[in-house]
Amino acid sequence: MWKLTRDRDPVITVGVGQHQMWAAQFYKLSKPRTWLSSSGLGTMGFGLPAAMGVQSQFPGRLVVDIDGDGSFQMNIQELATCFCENLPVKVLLLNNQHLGMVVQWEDRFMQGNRAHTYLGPIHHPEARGQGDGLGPTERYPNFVQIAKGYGCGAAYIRDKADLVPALKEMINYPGPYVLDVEVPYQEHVLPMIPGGMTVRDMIKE
Amino acid sequence: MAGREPAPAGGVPICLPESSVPRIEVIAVATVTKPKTKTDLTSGADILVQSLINHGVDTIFAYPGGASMPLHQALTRFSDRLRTILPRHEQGGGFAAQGVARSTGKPGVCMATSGPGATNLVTAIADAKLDSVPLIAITGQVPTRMIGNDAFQETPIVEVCRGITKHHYLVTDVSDVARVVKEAFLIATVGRPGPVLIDVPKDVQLAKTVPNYDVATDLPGFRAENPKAKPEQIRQIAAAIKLSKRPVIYAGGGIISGNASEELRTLAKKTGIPVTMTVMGLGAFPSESDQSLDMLGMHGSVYANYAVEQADLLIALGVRFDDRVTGKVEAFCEHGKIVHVDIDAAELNKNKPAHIPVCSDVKYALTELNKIVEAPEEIAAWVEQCKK
Repeated sequence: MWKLTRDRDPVITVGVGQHQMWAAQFYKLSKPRTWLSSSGLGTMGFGLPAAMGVQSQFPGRLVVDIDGDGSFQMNIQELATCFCENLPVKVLLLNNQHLGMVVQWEDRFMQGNRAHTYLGPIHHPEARGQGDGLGPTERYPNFVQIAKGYGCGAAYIRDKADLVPALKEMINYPGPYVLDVEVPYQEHVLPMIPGGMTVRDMIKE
Repeated sequence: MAGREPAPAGGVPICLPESSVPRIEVIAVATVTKPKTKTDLTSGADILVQSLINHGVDTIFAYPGGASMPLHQALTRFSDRLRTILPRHEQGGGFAAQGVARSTGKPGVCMATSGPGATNLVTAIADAKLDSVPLIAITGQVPTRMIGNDAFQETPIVEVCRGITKHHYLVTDVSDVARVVKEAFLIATVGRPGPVLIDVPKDVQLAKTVPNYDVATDLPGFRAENPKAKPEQIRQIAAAIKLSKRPVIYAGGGIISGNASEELRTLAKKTGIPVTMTVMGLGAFPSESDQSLDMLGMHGSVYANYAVEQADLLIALGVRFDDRVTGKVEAFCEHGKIVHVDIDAAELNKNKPAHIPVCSDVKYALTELNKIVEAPEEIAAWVEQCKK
């Protein structure tokens, strides 16, 4: 994403969680005020409305919300504002069907005991941490349908080969756009120094 | 800050500064009509909106309700100068206002009605407080005579937000509106930025008075200027840098809000010291530079965290030693001398004792430092080691 957009001098906003940390680690920033992250309070749902605010100040600029499926749903209604007020925010949705950062802590420190961190129907095995690792057979919710219902452009991809063309389509779309990207939920943000510990306790894999 | 006393009941004294009193010539005609002047009676709502425009606001995120309708009606009268964007949840409006503030540096403005509208702003206000974002949150409130009655859509929002705002106001007199808005912008932006709440009862929005937009602020004890480092403190920092063998710069949100990114880059260039950033400081220093150690902390890079652990001098600029960065605080940079520059004296020595604490606007401090700083003698080997 960074390589595709660096010439455009975009502004990036994020939600809170694994996607936020990966964006911080991999998106190479070079100017102040091009990165907006709810850091102290760490509020999920920050990404989309913050991007909306930025877009209102920089109408012609590329503004991208890199979000997670949990955070995105917390203020998903702002897709309406983006459409109705002509604020063409782009949402890059890293969708692993789970509350990723909490899942990571469950895996590392609580023997993988899933405590209400699966964002799909409760009868799915993933809700109890017994998924087959390939992800749920039916993804939930259908973000493409929801985004289109709000009048926004949208697409869903799962294969790496489709990523670059999909990103290009999103960037060039003349209006708000949601790109739903399926990502595996077993990924952990690394490195990690667990809370209250020191550099010597750093987890690297 | 001292609380405000409610204005005494029974009339608002109207003060007209001499310069604005028009000269009325008596013309010998049968009827004399009073000419329309700037000093006509204006509603509290109009005064508030005009004040926002006077302070350079061009966008507001506002969700209407009964207690804020006069404000929304006023917004339509000024729509050519102030764009009102309607979010679909007040929290969305609050975060959008933050988006304005964080990307431009100007205070973001959001508005909600009383009761549930106001409480829906709470999260965004708390978020602005913790990340030091300049935010003006305006809430409608039930009429003054009904406050405390459990009126329809009433919440004591000032009470609720007391601990999560830099300052807060309940305006009980229409003649206070212009002054309160002026003070709110000052408080939100000077020193360490933060959110200010203005709660405006409906009868105050509807009441009329003659506005005075040049009114003096009444903020005893509030310094309207940023603190500045003393010359001897700058010399101490320069000396510490010159003598260091394994220095690291730890930069954060204060560099961004202080607009000090250029000064930071100059310092890094002059001294060759590696730079690591907090999640709030990303963008202050280019990540692609060889001198960048990227982010530090819980999910920071391995090399950044090791560099800080082994540093003999940590130059902390616009940061607050947050627990996500330090981990176990006693072990954070335990072998290093700490220079800590921050605009908020309350942060100095709060989490980590600073050997050279400097209460100052960081842009000023770095500008002065860059005039005299010299690169430390032999740190090439250290810089190489940091990169691995």
